[in-house]
Amino acid sequence: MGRPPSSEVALRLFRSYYRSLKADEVNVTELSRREFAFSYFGEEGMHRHIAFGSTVQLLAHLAERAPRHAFYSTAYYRDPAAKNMDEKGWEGSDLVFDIDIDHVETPCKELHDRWVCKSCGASGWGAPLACPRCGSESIERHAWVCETCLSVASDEVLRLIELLESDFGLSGDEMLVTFSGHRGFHVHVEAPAVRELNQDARREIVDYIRGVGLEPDYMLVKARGGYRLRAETYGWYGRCARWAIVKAGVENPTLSKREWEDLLRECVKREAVAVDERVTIDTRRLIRLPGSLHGKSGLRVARLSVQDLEGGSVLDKVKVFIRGEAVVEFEGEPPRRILDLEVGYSTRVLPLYAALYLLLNGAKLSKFELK
Amino acid sequence: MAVDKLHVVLSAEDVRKYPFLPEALERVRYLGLTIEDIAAPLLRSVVERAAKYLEAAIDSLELPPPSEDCDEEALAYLVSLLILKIISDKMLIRRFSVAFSKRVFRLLLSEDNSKVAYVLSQLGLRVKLLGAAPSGYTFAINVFDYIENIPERRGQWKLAHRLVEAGWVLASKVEAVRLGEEALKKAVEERVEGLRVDGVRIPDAIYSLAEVISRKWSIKLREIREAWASEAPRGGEFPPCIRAIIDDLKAGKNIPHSARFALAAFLLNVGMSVDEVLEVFKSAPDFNERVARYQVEHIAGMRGSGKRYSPYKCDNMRTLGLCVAECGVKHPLQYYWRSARRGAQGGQAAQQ
Ligand code: SF4
Ligand SMILES: [Zn+2]
Ligand SMILES: [Zn+2]
Repeated sequence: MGRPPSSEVALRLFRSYYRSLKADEVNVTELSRREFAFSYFGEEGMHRHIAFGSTVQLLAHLAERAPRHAFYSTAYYRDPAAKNMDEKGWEGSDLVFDIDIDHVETPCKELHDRWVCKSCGASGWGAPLACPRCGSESIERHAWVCETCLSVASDEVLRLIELLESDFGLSGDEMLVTFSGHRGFHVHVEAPAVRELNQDARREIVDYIRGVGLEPDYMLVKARGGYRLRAETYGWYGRCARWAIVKAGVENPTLSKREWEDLLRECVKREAVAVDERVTIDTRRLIRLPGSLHGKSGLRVARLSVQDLEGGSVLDKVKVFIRGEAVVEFEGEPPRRILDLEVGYSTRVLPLYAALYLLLNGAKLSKFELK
Repeated sequence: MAVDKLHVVLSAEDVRKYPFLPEALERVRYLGLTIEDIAAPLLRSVVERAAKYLEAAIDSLELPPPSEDCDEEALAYLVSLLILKIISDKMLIRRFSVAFSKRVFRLLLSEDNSKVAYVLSQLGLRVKLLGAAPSGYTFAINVFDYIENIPERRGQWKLAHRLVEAGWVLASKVEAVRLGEEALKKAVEERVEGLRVDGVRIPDAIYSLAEVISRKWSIKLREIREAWASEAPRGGEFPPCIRAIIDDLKAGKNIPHSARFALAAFLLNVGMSVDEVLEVFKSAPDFNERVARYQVEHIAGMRGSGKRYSPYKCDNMRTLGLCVAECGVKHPLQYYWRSARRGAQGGQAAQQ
C-alpha cells in the first residue's frame, strides 16, 4: 500500500517550508536540555527522546524529515535523550498555559463545527455537550477554527498576560506566546523563578487564574447592615471591587452575603481565564515546537506579540502557504467558514493555505489538485 | 525582583536557637571544630543532646528546648543530621525535620519582625517588611515562594483568598513564620540528603548512637506497620498506582496533594470509613489529625457540597504523574472490583 496522495502533497509543502526556516523563528530556550519528539507523514506513532546540541542541528533535522508534528519538552533534563524519566534527570520545567478554543464560548461554532451522535445517529452544526435529541454524551465532533474564534481566544490570552503581570509580577519578556498551530494558544513562562515549582504549586496558580475555590467567607468582613470586601485593590479583591462598582454603583458597597455570592460568581465568570489545568500542572509535557507547522492545519506555531493579539493579525502570522491555489471538490457538506474564508458546497478554487487546512483536518474531498 | 538587604546582627543566642543558619556553621568552623576532633567532654554532651533530639522525634515529634550553650547546640544539630544520614531512612528524616521545624516555629514567633525576615530569607524565601502596613499585614512574601510553602491548600491559605500584587503576597507574622516552618522542613531534608559521610572518620560515640537510634526506630516502625496490616484491603487487590502512593506514604515521602486526594477517594470508595482512612494517613510524619480529618470528611461528602468525590480516572492519574503501570483498565476502581470478582469466583470454584 503506497502513501496516500494527500500526504504526498502535504509532505512536499512542509518540506519547502522547513527548508527555508530561519533559526530565529524557532524560539527554544536552552535547546540542548530539552527533549524533542516528532511524527512523520505516512508513519504511525511518535518518535520520542530525541535531543539536539544546537538550533542548527534541529533545523537540519526539520529540513531533512519535514515532520508532520513537532514537539519539545517544557522540562529541562540532564540527559534529554535518555529513554526513561529517572535517567533523563528532571531539572525544572517552564510554566505553561494552554488556552483552547474548545473551552471558550464562541458564536461561530454554529458555522463550522459538526457533530454526530454515536448513540442515535443525529447530527448537526455547533458544539453541543450532549446530543440534543437523545441526551447522550458520546458525540463525535469535527471542529474547525475561524477568525472569530481566534479573536475571542486572543482576548483570553491577553487577559492571562495581564493577570500574570499584575498579580504574579512577571514581565512580558519572560513570556513566550505562541499559536498552538490549530485550536488555541500557548503561553510559556520561562522565568527561573518558576522552573522548580512542583505540581501542587502549579495547581495553585491554575486555581488562582481560573478563580477556582473563591469563597466569600474568606473575602468579606462584617459591616453595619451586611458585608464589605476585606480589601479593594489586591488580586481577586480588586477584580471583585471593580464589579461591585459596576453592579452597586458605589465604591466598596455593603451588601448581603447572598448578593456578594452572586457578584463573585459573575466576577469569576467574566474575569477568570479558561486555561487547561492539565497542561499547566504537568511538569513533563511535550508541547508544540515554535516555528513548526501543525500537521492537522498546515498553520505555523508562530510566536505572537501583544500587538498581534490586540490587532487581530494572528492569522497573518500563522498562515504559511498564502501564494498559490488549489482546486477542490467536496464529498460531504463542508464547514461554512474556515480561517478567514466563507466556503460552500459549490466552492471549487481556494487559496492554498485554506485548501491544505481542509485536506489535513479531514474534510471529505473527492478532488484536491494544486493549481 | 530586588529585595532589600536586611540588616540583622546575629548573636550567639541566635545560633543556639537557629543552628541551621549559615552563621552557626561559620561558628563551628571558626572554632576549628570538625566531627573528627570534637574533644571528649564536649563530644559527650553533644552526643547526649543529639540522642535526646532523635529519640524525641521518634517518640512524640516534640523536641526539648535548645541547649544553653550555643556551640553544643550547633554541634548537636549537625550530629543529628549526620546520624540521620548514616541511618538514611526517609521516614525518620521526615519525622526529625517536622519536629525540628515545629520547635523553630515557636522560637521564631517571639522574635522581632526583622529577625524573622532574616531567618526566612536564609531559608530561601524572598521576603519584604512593610513599614506602614496596609490591612494590618507586616510581611510580603514572593508569590512563588509562597505557593511552594503553603501548609494547607485551602481556606485562608488559598492564593485566591490572599492579597496579591505584582508578585508579592501579604502575610501576617504568624503566617510568615508558618511558611518558614514549611521551608525549613524541606531544607533540613535536603541538608541530610546532601551530606557526604564516606571518607569521614566518624567518632565511635556517634556510631554507637546511630545504632541505638536505628534500633529504636525499627521498633517504632514495626508498630506503625502493624497498625497498617490491620487495615489490609478486603475483597479486591489495590491497583499499582494506589499501592505506590501507600508505599511512598510508608516511606515517609512528602506526597503531593493530588496523591493524597487520589488515595483518600479510592479508599473511601472501596468501603473504608473516615477513621480507617485516617489511620492509613497517620504514618505520614506531617500528619495533622485536625486538617486530615477535615479533608477526608470533605472528600467523603460529609462537608461542603455534600457530594462524595470519586477517585481520578486512569487518564487523570496519568496526567498527574500518578499512574505507574498499564493495567488495561479505565479506572483504578475497575482494577479493584475486577480482582475482587475474580477472588469471589475463585472461591466458588474451590467449593464446587
Ligand atoms: S492504569 Fe489505572 S489502575 Fe493502573 S496504575 Fe495506571 S492509573 Fe492505576
Ligand atoms: Zn443522540
Ligand atoms: Zn470560529
